[in-house]
Amino acid sequence: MAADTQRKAYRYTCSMVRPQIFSEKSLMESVVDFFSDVVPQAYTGSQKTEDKEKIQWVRFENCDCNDVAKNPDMFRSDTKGLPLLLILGYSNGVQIWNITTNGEAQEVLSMRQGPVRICRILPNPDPVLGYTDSYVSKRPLVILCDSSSAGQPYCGVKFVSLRTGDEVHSISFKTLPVQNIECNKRFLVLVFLEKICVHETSQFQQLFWITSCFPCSGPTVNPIALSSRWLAYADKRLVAMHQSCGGMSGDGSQSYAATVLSAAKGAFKGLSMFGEAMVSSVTGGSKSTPVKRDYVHLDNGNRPGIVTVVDIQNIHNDHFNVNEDNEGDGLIAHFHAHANEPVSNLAFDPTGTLLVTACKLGHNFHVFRLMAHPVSSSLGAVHHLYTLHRGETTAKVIDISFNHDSRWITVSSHRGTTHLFPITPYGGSVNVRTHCKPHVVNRASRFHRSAGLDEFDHSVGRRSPVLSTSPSSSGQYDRYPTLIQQNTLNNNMGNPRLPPYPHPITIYPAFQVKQPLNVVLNPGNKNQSPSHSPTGFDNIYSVCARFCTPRLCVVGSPKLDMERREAGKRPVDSLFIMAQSGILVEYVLEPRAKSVTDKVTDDCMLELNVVGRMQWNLQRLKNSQELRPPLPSNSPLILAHEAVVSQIPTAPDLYDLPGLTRQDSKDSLSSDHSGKDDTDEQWLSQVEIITHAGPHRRLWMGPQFSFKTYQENTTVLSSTSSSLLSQSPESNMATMDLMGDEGDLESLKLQPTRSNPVSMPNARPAYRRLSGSDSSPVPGQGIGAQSVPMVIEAGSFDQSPHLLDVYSNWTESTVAKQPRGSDDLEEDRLKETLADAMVESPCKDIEKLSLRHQDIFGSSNENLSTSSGSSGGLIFNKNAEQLLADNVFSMTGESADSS
Amino acid sequence: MLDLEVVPERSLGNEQWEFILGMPFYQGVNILKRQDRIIKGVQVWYSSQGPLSIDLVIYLSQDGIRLIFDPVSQRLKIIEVSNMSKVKLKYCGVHFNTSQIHPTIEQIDQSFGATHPGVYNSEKQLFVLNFRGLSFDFPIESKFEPRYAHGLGSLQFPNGASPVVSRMCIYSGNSLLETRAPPLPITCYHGNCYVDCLEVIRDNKSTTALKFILFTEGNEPGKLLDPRKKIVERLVKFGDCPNDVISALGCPEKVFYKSDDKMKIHTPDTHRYSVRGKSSDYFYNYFTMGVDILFDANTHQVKKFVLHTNYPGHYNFNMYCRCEFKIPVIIEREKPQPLAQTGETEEEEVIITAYSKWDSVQKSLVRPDNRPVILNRASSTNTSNPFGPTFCFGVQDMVFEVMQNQHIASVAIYQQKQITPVAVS
Repeated sequence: MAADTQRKAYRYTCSMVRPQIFSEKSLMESVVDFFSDVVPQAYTGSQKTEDKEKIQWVRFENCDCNDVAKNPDMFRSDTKGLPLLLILGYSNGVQIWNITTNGEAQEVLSMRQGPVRICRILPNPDPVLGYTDSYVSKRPLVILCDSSSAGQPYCGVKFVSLRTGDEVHSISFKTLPVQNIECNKRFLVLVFLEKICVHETSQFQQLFWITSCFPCSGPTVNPIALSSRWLAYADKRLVAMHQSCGGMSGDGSQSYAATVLSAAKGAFKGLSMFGEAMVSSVTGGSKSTPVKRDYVHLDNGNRPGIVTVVDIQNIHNDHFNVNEDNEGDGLIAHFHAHANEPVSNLAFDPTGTLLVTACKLGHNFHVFRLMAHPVSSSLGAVHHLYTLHRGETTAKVIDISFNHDSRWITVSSHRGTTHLFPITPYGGSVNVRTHCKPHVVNRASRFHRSAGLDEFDHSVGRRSPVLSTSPSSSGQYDRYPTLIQQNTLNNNMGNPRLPPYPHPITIYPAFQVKQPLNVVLNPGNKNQSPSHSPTGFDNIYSVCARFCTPRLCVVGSPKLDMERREAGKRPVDSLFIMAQSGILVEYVLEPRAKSVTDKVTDDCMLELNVVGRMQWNLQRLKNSQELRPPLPSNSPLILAHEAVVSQIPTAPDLYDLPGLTRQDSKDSLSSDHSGKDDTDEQWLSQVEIITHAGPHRRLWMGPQFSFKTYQENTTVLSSTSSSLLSQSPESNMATMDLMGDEGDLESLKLQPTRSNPVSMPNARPAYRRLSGSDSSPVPGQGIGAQSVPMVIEAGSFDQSPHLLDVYSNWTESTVAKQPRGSDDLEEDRLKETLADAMVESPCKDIEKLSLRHQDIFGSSNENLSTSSGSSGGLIFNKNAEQLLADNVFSMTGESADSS
Repeated sequence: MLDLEVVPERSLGNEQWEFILGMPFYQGVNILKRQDRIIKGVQVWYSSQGPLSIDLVIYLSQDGIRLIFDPVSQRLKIIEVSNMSKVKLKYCGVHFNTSQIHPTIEQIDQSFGATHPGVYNSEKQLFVLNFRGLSFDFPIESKFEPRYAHGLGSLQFPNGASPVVSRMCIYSGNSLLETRAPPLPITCYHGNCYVDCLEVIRDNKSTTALKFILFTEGNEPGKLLDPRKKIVERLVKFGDCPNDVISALGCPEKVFYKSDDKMKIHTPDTHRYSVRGKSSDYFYNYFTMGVDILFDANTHQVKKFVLHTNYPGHYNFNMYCRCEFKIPVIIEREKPQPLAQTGETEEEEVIITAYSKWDSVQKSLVRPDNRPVILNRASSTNTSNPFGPTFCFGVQDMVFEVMQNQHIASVAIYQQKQITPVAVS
């Protein structure tokens, strides 16, 4: 590749790892190495392991490099995907890898200053709270929690500038060890045992503390999740007056009510104890203390399994606590996520509206959709969409990740297994329709809508079971003052905060990516004191997963173009899994229909094929050079930060498109180089045709409702209207005033050609009429004279790709009106048959009926034209009403026929 | 036959449902849709040319009930029973109108008690008996007219043929003629949020934010049963993430994923690929606010707002509540020649609301050579859109969809691309 050579001239020089073809064997060896290192008596260590350092923890990072929203490089026309950023923790330091879209792993940072418990790269701040950035010249920054902090080890954090290498800031917490750090563009959250401290990211000012977290014994002692501005944590108590409606409902067989009410708690708890015992006997370590501790806490009035979600930007005190005394400002949701078990892990999806929770047992994970109310958490609701069933053995969840459109979740357990679950962001079953396309489809399929399944019957049928099985959701309506009114629930049409709530669907893993060896946790390490290792948890095989665009190279063969084409079609991104053994693997996910029969329908069960594609061995060599801050000015971390700050894409000489000059790339961003004409027409692409999933039958389509207009211009309904009616199958609409602009439209010769007689009938009879009416004002003066407007047809066939060809006829705007030919007759016949199928009463009847309407209307038109013509803004009672009464009474009998 | 309870100045309904004065149009429709087995032959009457000038009426043709909605606020103004023989009515649980009990003057007097003397309308030969928020019309032959002065009860009718009610109206206030649709009653909130006013904040020909004045039911802690209207002011900007929007406005009623964008063909920079190729942007639908918010699929940031006006006669009628928006548009125009040098411009502010008519603002907003787009929504299940096409006009960073009667059907406000100055490089 010519580009390759050119690129190398400008390339950032660092130690680099090229991908290898995925091989199960080498992966296995790496794990064997890992354990032989840990368990020397079990495996005799090979020479290879001697010169490699042991990874303590792994983590994917989001920062300026892969910030889709802020990094202008992502908008370049030659963007090929997102880089991956990976942070590896060692017992003697930390290492950061940047895996470029080309598949090269670049080592961008490597330090050996002692054990590091946490390292995060801070993205460029988004100053939502109005603080100005005090570290402009120092960024990008990394935040480190290591043993070198002042006072006790791991009890403070320091901020190190990658640009200058200085320690620019530090925060000490004396004797409180930092357990975890979560950060995004707006906030920095430091996690301690039972406590959380939130800072903003411009000056690292402390915002508030939360001190009521429910502890968990697992590797994540205080689970939290941070989205762009919400923070979810496990709370100690359930405060009824702030409790959101909904929340967890029964897991199928084991209903929540049964769990809570069963006095003995025997079966459930016994089983969990059994699970614990099994594991601990297998792993050799016996840990029953945490279980006891949980129940002690229960006696204190605390309850496990409660989750609170707060809006960080709306908390104005320096301490936040859910209790009876406060108004609940800043509270988004407060609900029961798991019955009787402490929450062990939490994660938000990329939109921050789905929350997945794991309990300590790790059998089931719950996916909730947060349906917040703008004023109070108690008026909001939490929908339990899915229960993800992992298995019956106890497992500790160490990592959860979502793909970018929230259709896949991975949950990794402490044994190194990554479970892949298909979900949808709106709930409901998962099938071929929802998961085999690259884009998200709407909840209701065309079939559902046309069958009317989505409207009333669904919800009515579901109401009672949900309420009766889930006490946490019933008894909550009194929150809504208006819900006391009996008709309210009947009248709940669209408000998702009101019952009935969806019933959770149980999902089983579509695939489990296991680390090659069935990890036997190491008993030999037990005598090590926790303070020795940065994480404090040794019996865990650290794994993390991340969905990302596929790396664009095939090892050995430069089939880049093919790869690229393929990538556009894939329904899901590649999955990258990094294991503690030091091997990063890219897996390609291929969802497909489970082949039970030959016929593949939308409702087919889903099957996932997972194929390993590439792998990188990223373990640090003992003799490798350190790469300490300050980083060189062409380090990807520095360049990405500069691009984000300046909003100018990184110079293309760092990319591999030789033909592309810098000027070009900027133009593609600003997109106005082609002149004024383009900007004038730019708004065209912004026209929105369909913004919502409309009902199958619009109100005006009948049959229950018919729309009628007060006629102000009686000449409209002339004799031509009967021909109009005969064409129009939905003649409930016949009395509709169609006078509008057809005169003008005719003069514009807008008649689209019917080039495709088999397309769905969407003729507009109105156009066919000869203009008999006097013209009303034309929107857009001078359209007719000098320019031809564009015609766009659209409708509720948005769901159906099969019907797209209908659109082919819209541009024919200048074609003269065709005489009504045989094609049209053909079409009419088709229309009629279709309409017969759609309309509940026979088509002919309606036609007759509407003709009658027409007649009646015609006869009384004189009244109207005289009265309403002079009645602008009048009180209705006077004339129009009178007329209405007159007309309508005479035809009520006939309308009865139709329905 | 419907058997309904009359509550003067408030509602008409039964145990399952009731029409309440001040109720939004869509809620009335929802009640009727749920009762589709019982209530048939419903007609919706509106004026296609002057949708704001004549009341919007739902007429239950088989039940003799008319629901008269204010055309501006689209809230229920008058509940009228226009055919007493098609419905059973009761007051305080006691029937006063069934097939057996005729609503005679005596019956009304017995059921509702005493009131002021009725008013005689000699033109229509109607005797109108008024209670607060309730009135009854009795057709009376003109021969009785001279004696009505002492009240209806004093009239003597031959052999007990006293007049029966021909029409009953329930309304708010004291006078049927002066009644207005009451504000949205708190019992109709149903946990929704409504927009009092949506102000589009603009700066230098582009939109910076949308200010929502929301009202919703709030509850004081400890006073759970005391419903209160709560008014909050919230801002939503371009670039906001779903969390920001939900914190401000609450969760949307529905989320709609755009499967394919027909208008993409008009994008000037067609060579521009998104990071992941095809992915679906999604709308947050706030139906009760009349607003849609479009998020980008990759960045999850707000990139477009669509405001709807819900005029009858539009394809989307009854999907959204009317959004009472206010858009101040600053337009530049060249100064009249004698006063200024050529090229100099003056600025003028035009405020566009949901009630603006396009023909009155068009001249100042759109150059004559700005061509509209004709949007003809049709449906796959129904052969045509009987309302005819609408026209779209681009004005600055907005697209106005205009109906044939010149009313604005919707406004799309989109994020203009940040244009990086070349000089910076």
